[in-house]
Amino acid sequence: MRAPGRSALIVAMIAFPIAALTLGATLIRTSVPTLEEYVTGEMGSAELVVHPATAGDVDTAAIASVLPRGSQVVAIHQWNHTEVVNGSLVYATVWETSIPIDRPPLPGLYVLMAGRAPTRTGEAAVDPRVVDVYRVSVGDDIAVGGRTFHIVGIAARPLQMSSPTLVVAPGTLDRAAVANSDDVFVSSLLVDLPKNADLASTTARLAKIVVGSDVRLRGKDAPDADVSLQDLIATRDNSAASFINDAPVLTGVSFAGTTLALFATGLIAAAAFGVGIRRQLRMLGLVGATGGDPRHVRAVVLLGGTSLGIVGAGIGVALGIAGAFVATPYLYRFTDRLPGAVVLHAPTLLGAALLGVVAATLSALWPARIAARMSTLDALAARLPPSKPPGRLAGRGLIVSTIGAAVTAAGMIRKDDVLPAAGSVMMVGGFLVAVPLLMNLAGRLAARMPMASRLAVRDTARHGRRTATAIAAAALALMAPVSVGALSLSEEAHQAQYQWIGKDHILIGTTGSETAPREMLTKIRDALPDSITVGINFAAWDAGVRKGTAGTDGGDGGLAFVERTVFSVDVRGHSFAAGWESAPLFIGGADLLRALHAQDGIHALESGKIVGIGPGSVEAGVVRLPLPPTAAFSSSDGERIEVSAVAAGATSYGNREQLPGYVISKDAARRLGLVPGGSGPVSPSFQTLVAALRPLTKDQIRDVKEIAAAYPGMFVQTLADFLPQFRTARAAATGAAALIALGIVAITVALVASESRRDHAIMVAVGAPPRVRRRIAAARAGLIALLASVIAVPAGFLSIAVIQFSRADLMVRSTCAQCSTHFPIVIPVAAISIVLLAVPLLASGWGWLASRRPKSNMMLQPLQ
Amino acid sequence: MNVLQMTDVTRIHGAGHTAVTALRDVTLGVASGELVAVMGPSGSGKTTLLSIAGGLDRPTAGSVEVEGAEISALRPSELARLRRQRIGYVFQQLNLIDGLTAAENVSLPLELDGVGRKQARQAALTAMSAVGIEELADRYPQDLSGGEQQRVAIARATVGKRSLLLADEPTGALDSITGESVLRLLRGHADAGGASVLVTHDARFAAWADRVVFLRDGRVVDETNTPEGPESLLVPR
Ligand SMILES: Nc1ncnc2c1ncn2[C@@H]1O[C@H](COP(=O)(O)OP(=O)(O)OP(=O)(O)O)[C@@H](O)[C@H]1O
Ligand SMILES: [Mg+2]
Repeated sequence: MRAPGRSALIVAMIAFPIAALTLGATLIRTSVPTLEEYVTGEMGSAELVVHPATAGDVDTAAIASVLPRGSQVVAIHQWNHTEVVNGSLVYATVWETSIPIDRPPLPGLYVLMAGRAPTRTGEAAVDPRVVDVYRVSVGDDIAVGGRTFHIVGIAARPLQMSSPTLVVAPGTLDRAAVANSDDVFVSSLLVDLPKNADLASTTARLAKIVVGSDVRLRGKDAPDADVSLQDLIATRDNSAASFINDAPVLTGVSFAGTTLALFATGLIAAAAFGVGIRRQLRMLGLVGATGGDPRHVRAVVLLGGTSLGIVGAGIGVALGIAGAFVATPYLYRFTDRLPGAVVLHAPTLLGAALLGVVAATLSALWPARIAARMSTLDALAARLPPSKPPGRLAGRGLIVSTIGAAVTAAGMIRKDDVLPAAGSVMMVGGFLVAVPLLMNLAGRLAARMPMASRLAVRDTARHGRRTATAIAAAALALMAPVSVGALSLSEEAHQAQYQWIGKDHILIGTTGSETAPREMLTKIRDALPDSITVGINFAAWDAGVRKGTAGTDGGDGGLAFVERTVFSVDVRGHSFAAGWESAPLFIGGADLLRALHAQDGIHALESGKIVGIGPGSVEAGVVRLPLPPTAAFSSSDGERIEVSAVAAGATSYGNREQLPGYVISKDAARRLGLVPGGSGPVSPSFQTLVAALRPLTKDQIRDVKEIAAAYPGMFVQTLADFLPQFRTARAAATGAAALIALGIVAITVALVASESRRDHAIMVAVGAPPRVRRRIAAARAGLIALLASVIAVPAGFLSIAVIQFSRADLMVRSTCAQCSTHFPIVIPVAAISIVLLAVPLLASGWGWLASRRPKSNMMLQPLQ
Repeated sequence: MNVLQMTDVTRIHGAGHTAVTALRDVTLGVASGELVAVMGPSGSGKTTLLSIAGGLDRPTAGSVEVEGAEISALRPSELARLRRQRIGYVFQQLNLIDGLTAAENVSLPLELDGVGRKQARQAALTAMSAVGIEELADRYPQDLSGGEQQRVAIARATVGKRSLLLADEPTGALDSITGESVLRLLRGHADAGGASVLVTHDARFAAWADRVVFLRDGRVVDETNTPEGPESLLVPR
């Protein structure tokens, strides 16, 4: 190989995207279950799985009585527990199986990964998330919610790995049950039928027992009922029917992403081939001189690309497969599923390899065309055709870019979703194609610059098209940090705008049923002078408000909710259209309204009205309260009472499930049959609200959390805990993208430098001191990086701005009154300054350092 | 004192069994006001001699003094300054920077030396008019013919005040009339008190020299002060 460095570069540029594609596609195949794995993960080897309708009252004996002789019923009890472990809130699930998990039908539903199955009372197998969160391993004891289990194995439910789970030996939960034994419920019953049993008639008999006479099942006569029979009793066929195979879609997405990446690297590869061609010219000239026609010449260059592509694709696929084996054990952290063995899908792997070969061949195509068009004499003299001024293509690029801008603007004005996106793609694409024009312009301005920059600019402009492809590639890479910064900052700003809870709010909860110690609250109040501390009380229907209410002990008829119609809500970037939202009702007084900054509603509250927090929370002076259902699964079928209400306060808080969004006074509540009660609809529910009345500082938040840390079981959350934190992801993405871009710039600079080595030699020969040589190299590197940056910053920002703008538009059209119509677009100053300043500076520093002293006799020899 | 004094210069390229001795114990002095022609068959070491004289290459053994300064004792930056201020070099290949106009190529040594752009351009135009190409000042090398490029290279070598002018077959790409004008330029440089070394195959051009040095296999095989006529100078190949 004449130029091993250049070939290695091209191979690497093909290999890395292909490795990423292979890795991604293989991990997708590995983590997405097959139909078989899915059904087994849902129900082990059982024929039927019964999900009992109501907690606590499953009559196992009755169920057994309707099953054919020889059937086996395995009950799985579940206990959900929330607690604070190592400073963070953990939602742990404990299952108890009535037979050990290594006995049919349980294998598959539970997968034993290490150790053995728990068999003796008190033993447990834990899943990898427990190992991560509780920092335990096989042989240890683990305490969950005051119960201690001895860990004998690692086991997981393959389809349920989103939170820590334990499975304990038969009898363990019952025996250990002390306080809240109600929390333990039968989550499912697996039914193994004998051979030849009639599935349909068995299901029908089971349904009579499980469903209960008062439950309306979805069917022809009741299409709107909430529950279908399949939800309660599922066969393997039902389970299979609910399987959605996302592997093809995800694989398609990763292929599309890789094609994009290969387009960028292909641009550089094309530039590299373009440089290499100078070296190949003599060889090509010989092909021509010995009677080969242009097609032969082109074939020689193309084959060079193809062979490098084969090597690169081969290395890439091999790297990807190796990576898949390394990454698979950690996959559950991202997919919440237990990956099986690594799946090597031949068509996918072949496709990836083919993509790499095609990309390499295509990037050799353009230099090959040049080579084929050159005269044999020029080729023999290794004389490159003079670089033409930017051609029609660049001009067209500019036109396309202009049209794109117009389309974008038109789309924005017409409030269209597709047009602005399409327009911005045209704008950016056209701009990239027009890069040579930009460089030509820069070249013309060069005459007035000092020597070093003049040469750098002219060089860059002179190798116009060749450099342009590389600059376009670098610009594409540099767009990423700008886009990532703009998107995540805007998203953060949007979330902050949403105000899940107030900036001055502290929610305090406990994992048990006890309330926060007085001492702790006093300390917090001391840390926050002028703050208001109020209890949070959900309103619950008193049993007996309606005849037949399924009241449980304590007279609790279920939580009371306020219903309200919404047209569209925008939650974390997803727009949920038309429907109604229900939010729990809270019982409170003037203090609570003050804490919620809704003191203007105090008078209304005291006069018996329900106060909605925030503008738009109440329409037409009333809110509707659905009456409690008469039994489980009879959906809220229409009986509602209307209560007069007013909206108060200037802010609607997004979190209406933990922070009161609707408040009723104690007296008014009693008149409606409501009592303070229970825990809220989402876990955890907080018992105390502290409002500092002015936004909390970081120090205050830290102090309060420190105070709470001294009291076991207490947890404290502020607004920051409800907001997704993009900072680390943003920094990582920005850094990674900047690094990739720097790498591309470095490659580009090296390519241009190798074209200019002769110029350097001449400079040295006519007496340029070393520092001038370095200065020129630095200026050239900086210039290339700067050109790429200058393109990348508006392109990267613009595309995100357009997206954000159309999202704002969606919000405007929704009649969601209290939602902001303004979708924030934040300029990512840090990312832009990195791209605009740091990247060119680093690049020119690299150019300075990497500039080598040319061999002094280079200009004395003919060009090689 | 000679402007250029080479004493017992040996240059060996490579090492071991591939070693090529390009120059062997060559001693050559060029005084100011003198034009020396170097002749010899291809591969005899003419270019090597010139590049060592110009500080582009270092001798394996022996000493090279330019204006009394031992070149091998100079630091790279001092050597660079010597090249851009005192030595003008015309290469055997056309060696112009494609990214610079003709005038910019000519003024390059001056600009590198810190002379202002306008002043450097003025000096460049003067040097270019001496070889009759000032109207080509703002063209790029790729738009010039081979002969025009060579004249630009010569203008670059003569721009400013050079004491030593080294020309490696400067007439190769030129027709005889233009070739003569180049020789007149070299002669003029010598007559004005500079020292010039000219490598050539052409006996007609050697006739302009004060002295002709013959090289063969890296050795000085003959030296003649008064050429007896162009034909006698032709070296048999
Ligand atoms: N860098 C090098 N490495 C090895 N050998 C070299 C190198 N440069 C020159 N030579 C050898 O040294 C010898 C002298 O070369 P030089 O270029 O000085 O010859 P020349 O007289 O200028 O020839 P021509 O008239 O063809 O230009 C030749 O044999 C050449 O092959
Ligand atoms: Mg020579």
